[in-house]
Amino acid sequence: MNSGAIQPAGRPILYAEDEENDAFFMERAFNEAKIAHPLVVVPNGQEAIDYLDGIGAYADRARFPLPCLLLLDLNMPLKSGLDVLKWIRNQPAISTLPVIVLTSSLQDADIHRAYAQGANAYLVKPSAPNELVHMVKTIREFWLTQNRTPGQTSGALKVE
Amino acid sequence: MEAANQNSPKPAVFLLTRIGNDARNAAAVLGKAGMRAEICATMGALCALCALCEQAGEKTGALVIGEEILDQKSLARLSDFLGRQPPWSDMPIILLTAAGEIQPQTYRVLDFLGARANVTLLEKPLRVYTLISVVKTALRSRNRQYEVRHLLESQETLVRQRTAKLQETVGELEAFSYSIAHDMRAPLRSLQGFAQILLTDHGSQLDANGRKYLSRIAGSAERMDKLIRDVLNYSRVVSSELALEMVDVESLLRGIVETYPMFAPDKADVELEGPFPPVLGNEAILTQIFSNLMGNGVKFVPPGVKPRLRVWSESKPSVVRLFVQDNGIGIAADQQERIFGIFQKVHKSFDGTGIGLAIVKKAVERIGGKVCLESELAKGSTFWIEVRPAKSNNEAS
Repeated sequence: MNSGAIQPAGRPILYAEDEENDAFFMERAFNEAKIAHPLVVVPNGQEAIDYLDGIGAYADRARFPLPCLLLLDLNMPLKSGLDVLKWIRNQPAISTLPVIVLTSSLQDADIHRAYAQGANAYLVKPSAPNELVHMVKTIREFWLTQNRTPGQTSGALKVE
Repeated sequence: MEAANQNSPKPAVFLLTRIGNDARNAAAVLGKAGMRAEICATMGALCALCALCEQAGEKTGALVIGEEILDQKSLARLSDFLGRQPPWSDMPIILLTAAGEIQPQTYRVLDFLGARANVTLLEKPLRVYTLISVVKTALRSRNRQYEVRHLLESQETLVRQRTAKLQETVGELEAFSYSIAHDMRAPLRSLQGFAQILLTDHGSQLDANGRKYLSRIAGSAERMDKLIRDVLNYSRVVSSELALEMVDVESLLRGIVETYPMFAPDKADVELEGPFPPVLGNEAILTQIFSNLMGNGVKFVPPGVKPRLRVWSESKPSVVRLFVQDNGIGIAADQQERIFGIFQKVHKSFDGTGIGLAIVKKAVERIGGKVCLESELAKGSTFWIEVRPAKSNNEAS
């Protein structure tokens, strides 16, 4: 099903989300949509930074490989989604990581701030689980299949 | 402020005459009467001294000027000084003129100064009590002006303070709306999500009643979610800053019809009967207005009837009317006032939050227009909004 994916299936998708139920819905939607990439959930912005930085509990890169995509909630404890975004864009090693903001906020100010800090997309959490499945399928279609990121294209060619 | 006023010196009367004795005599009279008099040698000195006084926060009371000193140059100087007075100021000037027939030159000076200041003509030789009384009147009028200034300043301070407080309140309200959006909708999303997952993944383990109750839970959560979103929309329409700009109604309407599935040809017959003139408004606000009005039009139809919408415009030099007509269930005459209030629902059998038309009313008001309605039960409704035409519309015609 995922054979055409540009992103190698081994690389996880990181999801920073403090709302446990939302994390559960996302895991379920990943199963329903049969996404090959593992979904890794971190419960706040600080842990997202720790994971990406490979420090603390996430020091083992073999167990916690760099993600190919970050789904980022905005309102989180310790460090907000915007803090995480700002941090990522200032890290030369991962500054080009595709980041999809996924939030319940429909506020124009939030949308502005997210893009200003370098978000690649801004999605509003759907309230129905089947809509979430649809959204996840769309994410796979665009971000994992069509979209190309620096370094990925040459990697894919080598595999062929 | 009050204490400073009490301590500051008396308002000064500035005297300028060609014959030094005139000024000295007048100053002596005024001084004896308890007034503060300052003799000036030239018009330049008078204007400079007045300006210095005002800068130092002292009050300028009145000018006593001998007519003979007012040649072209000194008149220009005085006029320049008066022109730089603040808006509340109407400087009292007492013009001393020679006895006898009034000369045409005096009339000209009177006209010129009269347009710029509060001028009184006083004939020489001066009588002590006449002079005192005229100067007192001038000082009294000048004092009133200072009181007005003080009042204006305190009003301005009050307005500034209240505006700041209001802005603070609006800011707090916005933060509150935001937390409603985020914190209240999250558990609601869970409620709705788990109910639906239960239905789809475990529905077979429940009997028909169990499934019915579950879908009611999911439906209620969805309604609540819609309600919160509508309230947020309403508060955004009420409080958002918006710039009035030219809006292309024609493409805006076409965009709405193409974007929303409920206006697709298989769901409804929508006729946009152009041309639609550009209007003065705001694109986001007008989109909100028309998606609500047209959405209502296709929503409130009797079961089994295909919704039919007609949208057209009527142009007058100073107003553009934009009409939305439907073939829906209509609104009884006694309900037509009510439906624009927030949380007012007329049709119990239809799903809705009762905010849509309240949003329309507020939104139209925000762009300086109004919304009207003509309807009869079971005969459909025609809503229209009256807005201003865009400038280019006027210039073109």
